Amino acid sequence: MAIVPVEKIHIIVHKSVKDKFLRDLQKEGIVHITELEESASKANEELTRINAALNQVSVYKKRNPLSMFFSMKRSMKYETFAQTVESYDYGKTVAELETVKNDKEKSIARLHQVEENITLLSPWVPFKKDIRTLKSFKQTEALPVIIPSNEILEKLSNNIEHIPHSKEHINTCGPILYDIYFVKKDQSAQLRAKLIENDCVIVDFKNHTGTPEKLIRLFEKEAEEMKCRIKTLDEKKIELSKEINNLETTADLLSNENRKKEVAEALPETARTTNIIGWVLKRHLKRLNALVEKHGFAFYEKIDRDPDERPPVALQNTRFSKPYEMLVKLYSMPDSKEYDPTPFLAVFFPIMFGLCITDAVYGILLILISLYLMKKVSGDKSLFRILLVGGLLTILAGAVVGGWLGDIFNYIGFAPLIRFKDSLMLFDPVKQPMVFIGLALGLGFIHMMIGIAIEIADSLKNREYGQAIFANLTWFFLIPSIGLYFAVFSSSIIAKAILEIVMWFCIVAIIVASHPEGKPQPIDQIVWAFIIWFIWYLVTSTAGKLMQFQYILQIPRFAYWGLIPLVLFEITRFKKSKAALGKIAWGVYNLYGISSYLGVLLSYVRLMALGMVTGVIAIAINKIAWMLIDIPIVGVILVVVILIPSHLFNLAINTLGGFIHTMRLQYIEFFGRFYSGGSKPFRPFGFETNYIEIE
Amino acid sequence: MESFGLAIAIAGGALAAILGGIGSAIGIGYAAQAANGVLSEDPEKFGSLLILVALPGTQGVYGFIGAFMVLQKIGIFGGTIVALTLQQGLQIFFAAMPVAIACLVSAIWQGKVCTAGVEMVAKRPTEVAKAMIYGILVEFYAVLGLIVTILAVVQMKI
Repeated sequence: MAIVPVEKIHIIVHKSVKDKFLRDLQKEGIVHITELEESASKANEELTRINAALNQVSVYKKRNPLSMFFSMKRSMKYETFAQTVESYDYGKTVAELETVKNDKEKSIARLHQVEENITLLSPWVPFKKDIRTLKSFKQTEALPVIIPSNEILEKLSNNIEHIPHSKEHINTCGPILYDIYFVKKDQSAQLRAKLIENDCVIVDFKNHTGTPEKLIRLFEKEAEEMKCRIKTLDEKKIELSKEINNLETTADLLSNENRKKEVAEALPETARTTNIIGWVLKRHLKRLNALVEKHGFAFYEKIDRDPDERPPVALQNTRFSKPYEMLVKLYSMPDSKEYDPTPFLAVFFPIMFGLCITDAVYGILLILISLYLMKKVSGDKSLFRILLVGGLLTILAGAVVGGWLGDIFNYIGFAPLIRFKDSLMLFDPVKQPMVFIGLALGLGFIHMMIGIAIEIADSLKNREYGQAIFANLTWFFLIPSIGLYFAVFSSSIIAKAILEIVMWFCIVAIIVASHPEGKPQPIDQIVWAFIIWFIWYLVTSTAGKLMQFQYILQIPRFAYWGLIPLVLFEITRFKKSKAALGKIAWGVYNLYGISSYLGVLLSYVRLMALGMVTGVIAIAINKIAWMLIDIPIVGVILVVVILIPSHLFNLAINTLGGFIHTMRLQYIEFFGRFYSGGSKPFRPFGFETNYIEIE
Repeated sequence: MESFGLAIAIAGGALAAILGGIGSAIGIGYAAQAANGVLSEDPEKFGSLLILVALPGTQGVYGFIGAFMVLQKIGIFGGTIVALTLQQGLQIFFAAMPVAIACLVSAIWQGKVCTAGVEMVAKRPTEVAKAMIYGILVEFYAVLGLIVTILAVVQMKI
């Protein structure tokens, strides 16, 4: 229900037992070590190798599609976990995987080279001599040339007329021509320049020996071999991927060992001891005691925290409200002096979430989906619990507005179903949107008042009584009074008179108590309270007469004479009064704060907007689907085929929107009243795993 | 004159579907390009990025629903088309504008927010929930537009 008390502790361990002690401390996971707060874990060579190996085989891992969205850890007992790692030679698997990876890379590189050679040589197949002979002439150079088209060839021929040469045509593929040019060695540079100038490519056969045809045959054979080899390597990888579970377990163990080593290095030491300074939950002190006693050469003491030190915060809640801690953590952990807002979230979150969806069948679906996910996904199940309770409230909200997959019952036309729907339905949101708005505003009003109440409790807890009474309590009474005055008791004169007095007191108190800096003297507050009270009355009753509305509370005329001594009194203390005048301006500005309360209240209308959108989209889906019902034979099937994915889509977008807007109402409208947060979460030094969940 | 009123009403519904669709297409376009860039480095992030990319898609649906409400009101689906005067046609046209324009603009901006979210997830994969929250906050104004259109169309007497 609250923030768990923590103790600051100092543990001293003799170096001889340091390693064992840290191992047990990690296993227990009860101490939040101060030194660890800012250190990020460093890479370790072994760990990097295992992770690289895991990366390689992860493609073959049998994957649940859910793992794309949620982390899926295998659960395992600590003993099995330690045993698996001990009996498993991960080095061998990792080394084998590394060899496979290197071999495969090499084979792929060679395959690319061979394929390139084949592409290079294949147009030259009609050349039936060893291509090496082209490089063996003493005075002549042979240039194999690729000419893009006949036009270029003509242009080229004109350009190189002046260079004595001869040529042999080898092949034509489409427009491209493959020729060999022969030219005297001393003129070859000239010819090369002209060829390049005309967009021709001079081919270099490198050191290949043999006729192109024979070479291609050899290369093709090699390519086959390489492909075969890559296939074998892949098969080996698949075989090695059976080890993936063991590898993951080892990776988890190693990363924790690594972390322990880092802790050991980070801790401050004396010649013979290691010191751990940290925090422990009060209720875990016994466990820590047992741990220290078990190791003999260790000792701990409680130490006082520094006055301005903020201890890490851990929350404790009942089974019912625990899941909502997730939402508090997402915003910010509460300050150690604040209230834990989780129980309030546990009440309001599901109600507002339900209003955002308002469809009973969607609620049932949400419950089924969250139950399924709870069973399938390991690790933190808070989100699914929230959705489960939200689903229940969605059913309720859906029944109230008559939303069952939109208006599907009307289409099915089964009378008992319609009667059942109508018996639960209180209003139709499309026909009476104002009722829905009222519902949302009413809920928002309660939510807001509870926020102000917490604000008051907070101020009282911190002994700020002036703040509690003048700045918070006044609003707590003023806002409902305004509502009651205009909406509920508009005809009862006595009730209105009482409310008027309450409102006057509140307004005067807000103006008087506000001060931009420091706290005003009590005498100032009392004197000014009367002055403002009179002025306020004078202004409002005159306005009442001018604007023709009846003003209920009557003050005898002579009471106004009381103003004169008060004002005179203030004038005698003119210097102080000047400061007080500024104060009043500030007070009037504070009174204007009512607009912010109005803004907060109106923000709750989003519940109605989101709730109606779900319903209307569902109705539209039904209408579109039912247009196909008249098609003979397949009509019914088509309707179902359209209904199912469309409603699932509607459920998905509205769950997302409903969840986030409900969250927003908690964070901005509700937390904004009283919550500051900003503490570090209590994170004990313990096992942190990626793949395994230790039971 | 009656057919002219009908044409204007249909134009309103059509604009709701068109502008909502344009907005969503642009918004998803932004986010999907960024997401593809991230996937080229780390295909494992597909699942978490998918939601961010798909977020601006809802405005297209809202526009479609708005158009559907208009078409239903004027009796396109019922068989007997309501004879609208010019004024009534204009009423329906303007009733359709909130969803049309709010969807167009909010989808584009939501696309931009989601693109930034995609870049954030590339660096901090665990923070995808926070990126989503900011995206959804933009979408709310399309929801408001749709509600105004629906209320106006449903409550209108023709």
